[in-house]
Amino acid sequence: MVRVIEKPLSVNPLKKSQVMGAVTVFLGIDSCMPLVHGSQGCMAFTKNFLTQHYREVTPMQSTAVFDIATILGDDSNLQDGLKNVIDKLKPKVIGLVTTGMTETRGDDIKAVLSRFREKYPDYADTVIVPVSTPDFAGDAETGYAEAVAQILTVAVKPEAGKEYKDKKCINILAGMHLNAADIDWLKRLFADFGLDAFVLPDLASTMGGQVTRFYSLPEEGARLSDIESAGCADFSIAVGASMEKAADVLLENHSVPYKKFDTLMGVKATDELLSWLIDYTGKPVPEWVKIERKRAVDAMLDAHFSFGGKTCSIAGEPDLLYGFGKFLSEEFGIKLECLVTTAKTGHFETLKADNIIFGDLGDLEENIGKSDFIIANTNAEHICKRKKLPLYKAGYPVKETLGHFHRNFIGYRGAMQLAFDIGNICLEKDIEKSHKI
Amino acid sequence: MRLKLQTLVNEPGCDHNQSKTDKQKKEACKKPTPGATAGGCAFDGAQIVLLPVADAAHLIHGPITCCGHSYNNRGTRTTVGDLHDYGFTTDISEMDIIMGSEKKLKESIKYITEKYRPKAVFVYSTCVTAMIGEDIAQVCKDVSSEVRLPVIPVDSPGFAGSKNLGNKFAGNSIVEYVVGTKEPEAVPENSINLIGEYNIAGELWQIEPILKDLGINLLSKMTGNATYDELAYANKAQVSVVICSRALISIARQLKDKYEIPYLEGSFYSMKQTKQTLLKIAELLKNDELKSKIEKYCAEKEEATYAELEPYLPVLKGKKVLVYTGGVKSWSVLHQLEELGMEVIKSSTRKSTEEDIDRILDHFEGDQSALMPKGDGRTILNLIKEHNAHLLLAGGRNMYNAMKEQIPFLDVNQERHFAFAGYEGMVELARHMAYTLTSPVFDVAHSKAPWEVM
Ligand code: SF4
Repeated sequence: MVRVIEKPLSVNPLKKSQVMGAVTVFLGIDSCMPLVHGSQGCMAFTKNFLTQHYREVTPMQSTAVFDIATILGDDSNLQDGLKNVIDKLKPKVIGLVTTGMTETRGDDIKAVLSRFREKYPDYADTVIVPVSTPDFAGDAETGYAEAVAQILTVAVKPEAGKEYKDKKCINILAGMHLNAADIDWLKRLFADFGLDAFVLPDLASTMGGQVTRFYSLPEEGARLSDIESAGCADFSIAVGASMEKAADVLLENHSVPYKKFDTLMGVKATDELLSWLIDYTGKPVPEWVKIERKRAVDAMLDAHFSFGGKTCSIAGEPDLLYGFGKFLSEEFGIKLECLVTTAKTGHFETLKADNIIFGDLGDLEENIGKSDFIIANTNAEHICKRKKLPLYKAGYPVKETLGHFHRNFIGYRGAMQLAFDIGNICLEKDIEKSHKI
Repeated sequence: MRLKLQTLVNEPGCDHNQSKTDKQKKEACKKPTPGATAGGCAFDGAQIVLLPVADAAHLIHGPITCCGHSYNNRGTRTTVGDLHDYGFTTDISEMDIIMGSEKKLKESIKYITEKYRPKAVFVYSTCVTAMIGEDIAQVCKDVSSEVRLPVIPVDSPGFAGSKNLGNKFAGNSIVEYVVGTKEPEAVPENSINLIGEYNIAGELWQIEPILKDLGINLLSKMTGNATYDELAYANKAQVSVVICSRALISIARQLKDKYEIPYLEGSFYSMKQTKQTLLKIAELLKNDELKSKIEKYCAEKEEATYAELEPYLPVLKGKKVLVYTGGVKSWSVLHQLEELGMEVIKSSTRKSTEEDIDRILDHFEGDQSALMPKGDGRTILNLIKEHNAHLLLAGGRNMYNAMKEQIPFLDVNQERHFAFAGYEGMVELARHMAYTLTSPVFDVAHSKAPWEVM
């Protein structure tokens, strides 16, 4: 049962706004400018937040809605913002994201957009994807999911990509919980099964550190041409329950069938993916995959001596929480004490935990029980200091830590990595305990 | 509500509006350009000023973006409490917007006071709660008498303007609601207020010992490592010292008008300015004895500092630097670099006031071309190339731009981990510039991959 702790406010929020989720998606698209429709602060905070998380340049802009415009509710800021971004940066795509403020004002961005199209026919080439993301509803994950679904609704062209293909094309709809290392792993796996995989959004390429020159628009992410032809793919894979909505768009509008993986963390979940790949392609399993599975199992065996009797608490967006919770409890045998999440979506209800709470880090702190360690974002560091518990950082934001985005959580490789990382935390606990009189 | 905002923008302490015609005023305070704007909102600015007060709770009245994306994100250090680490927000929902959320706000304040026992609560209004017309001042007043604690409203909707304006809103709340409400235990001789120092990376702790050595008493710090109480008796100080935040000059001005406390503007960046600032303090304190003490003290300190700087000076000498930072730092850091024998090719005038710009020009002997107007990452990088600059000094936002172009860089803004004030800070600054300038990483970065040379 999911509980909501009755209190009038949020203490140390776990939740981030839909704006952040949607902007993140647009950062994973080649030559795309996220344009936040609202006062400049929402964009500035979001930019700062994501820059610290990725340790990369994070291009984004704001329509800078100001005092008078706020009250009168005219649409000049939005029109000017679009025009200025196109004039100055010539992006192929603009991700137009609303905020609580413009939504409260009652802006109808779709209507503004059609007025803009009428006024500036020359700008017809720039794809504009409007996403409604008020921050008084939903969370970052719903904003992210909404943005992916909107891109596919707006930008996919039924006729694109119909030409001869020598490989089967797969859309991989990558959820917000995936790291660069996870996306890279998926790409390699699908390629070695002879598939042509297109990842949307592709944050590994834009925010993974491989772009070695200055850029004012994201480079090398998911390309517009690939988005346009996503409707002609043979199949879609949704990674994370939140990505189902986007997969549905392709199914309904373009009859692309899909399979959804609520999580790809752990050996069992990865086995499921491999079974599907074997069935779908009829191809043999690459040698490296076989080796990785053995290594994962070996690592888990080595680590399991310390897993027994351990308890942990986890806080995160639903998809991340579900993946960690299921893997740690069902494959490591670690007891789940308290799970805190940000939206009532997803499958975390099926997890066996003493406490499942829809809430904030304040709730986590109070319901931590006898946890041995915590998995959460950097903002939980103060709780861990107060409670003298180790923090394994995951989610958003992970700051003051180098290399987080290149940690691999999914697949056999991820299972091995987590067996080591979590295993070391548990091992240290055991050693520490043995020294106590 | 809007009327009040207008008066704040127009009050005489505003950098932009002072001694200008109506037309100029409009120009200077003009709106940001949609689609080409950087920088935070007024709420951000208000929070920067008040958040260092760590024995008070900070409650943000609005939907999740304002608090959810910004808490636990300040480099401010403190020993008086840990409430600045907490993010408290009413996290209002669609329902709250329709039904009104004043009751929720009231209960939130009560919840905080019962559970966290703060010395006071600051309540910030943000865009949405201001738009739906919540009267936070009234709510604060009502709850305050109920919980018997100061509950201070901070009118800071983001749409009202820039961070600078938000600084001023915060200052206004301090003067209007806090100052003069408590009595200090004692007011020692030579007591001052230090305004605009937020103890980023512990910079206050480099300034405090200097003042202590000289017998200058820091009565009220606004707001680095400050307790709520010391803000409340700031009216008892003899002199206000405003450092490195032009936007807070309005506090000093109001303290002068209301309590006749004279103020000065100073800086503790560079040895020269440290000394000048100290002398100005002595002057306003009308303390000649202190003056001669300062002369002697500074001479000794400077000698010792140069001795410590010795290993770094050869590395730094003659190196060309581009300075891209906001406001006061755009000129104060120039003195530091000069004392280290470095050459500044340009300094930005972003967020600088006219006085700031005059000071930069002073440094460059009136050479206008040394001023660098607002520019994006591309402009900065182009200038670096054009002038063969060796080093970029800027805020964290530009750090990754510099790294993309593999240029030595030092973060001189909010999120840094190193403190650069006073004598100790000079050495720290020199050390870190030398580290980045001599890092072997750049050799690796500049080397070609085997397949590129073949
Ligand atoms: S611009 Fe308004 S809504 Fe956005 S962060 Fe600032 S105060 Fe909050």
